[in-house]
Amino acid sequence: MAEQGEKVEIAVRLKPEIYDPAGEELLRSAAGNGLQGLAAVRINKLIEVTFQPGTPPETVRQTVEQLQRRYLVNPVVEESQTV
Amino acid sequence: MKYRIGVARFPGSNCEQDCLHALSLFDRCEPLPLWHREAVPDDIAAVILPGGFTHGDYLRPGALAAASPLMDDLLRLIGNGLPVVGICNGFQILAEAGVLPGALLPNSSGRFVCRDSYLLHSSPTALLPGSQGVLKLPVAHRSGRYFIDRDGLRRLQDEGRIILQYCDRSGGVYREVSPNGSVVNIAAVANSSGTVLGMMPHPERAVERLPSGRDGKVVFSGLLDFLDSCSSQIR
Repeated sequence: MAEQGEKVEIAVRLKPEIYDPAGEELLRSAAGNGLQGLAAVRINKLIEVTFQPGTPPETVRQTVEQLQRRYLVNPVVEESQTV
Repeated sequence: MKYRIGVARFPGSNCEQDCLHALSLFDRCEPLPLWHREAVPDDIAAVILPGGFTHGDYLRPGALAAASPLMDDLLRLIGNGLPVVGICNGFQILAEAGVLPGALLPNSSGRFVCRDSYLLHSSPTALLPGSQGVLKLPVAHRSGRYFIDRDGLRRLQDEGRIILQYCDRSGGVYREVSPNGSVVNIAAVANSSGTVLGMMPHPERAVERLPSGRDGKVVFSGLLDFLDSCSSQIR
C-alpha cells in the first residue's frame, strides 16, 4: 500500500450572528416534512487537506495556516478551526 | 489622449465583453482585456473587475480570484491610487481581497435574482460624483447580501462611503425593495479615498436603449471624468 501523507481537516463555520438562508431552507423543509424537534440548522464546511508523504510537520503547520488565512476563511463572516 | 482601461478576465468571468463594449462607446478610452495570471501593464489608467462566476464561485464568490497574481499586482496599484471599479463578482473579489470592507453573502431569499433594480445615489464619491438621483440598473446575482458589522456600518455612514442603495422608483429605501437582504440596502460602497468602487448592479448592461436603458453610462463617464480631473500621472 502506498505511503499516506498527513491529513488535516479544517472546519469553517459562519459566525453565529450571520444569517444562513441555506440552513433555514433545510430546516423549513425538514420540519415541514414532519421531522421532529428541530430548532436550528446551520450549513458549514469541512475541508480535508492531504499532504504529500514526508512533508515536514512545520511545513504542514505553515501551509494549513496560510490556507486558512489566504483562502478558506473570510474573517468578516466566518471562523475556522482544525478538527 | 485616450485612457487605456483594463478589464480583468478570470476563469469564469462572463461580463468582460459587455464591459469592453460599454467602454468602447466612449471616445476617450481604449479598453483592454487583462488576463488574471499576468501583471497589469504600466500604461493602464484604470481597471474594471467585471461580473461572472470566477473559478465557479467555489469556496466563496470571488475568494479564489482574490488570490490571483493580477489581484496581487492590483492591490499594490490601488495603494498608489489606481482607480478600480468592481461590478457584481468584481465587487465580491474586492471585498474578499480586503480592498473594500464587508462581505457579500448568499441572498436572504436563497434565490438567484435577475431583474432591473432602482438605486438611490446616496453619497457622491470620486468615481460617481454629483447627485445622480435614482438610477435603474439590472442586478443578476446569488450572493449580493452585503454584510458589515455595526462599527463598520457606522464608519461607512460617517465617511459617506455608501454610494448606492436599493430603493423604489421614487427613491424610497426600505427592506422590501432590496433584492438580497443587504444591510441598509447597500448596493455599492467605496474605499476611503474614493478611488475604488464596488457595486452589485451591472452598469455595463445599461448603456444603450435596449435592454435596460442608459443609466449605467454614468458609472463609466464618472470614471473617465475622474481620470480627466487627475492632472498628474496616476502612477
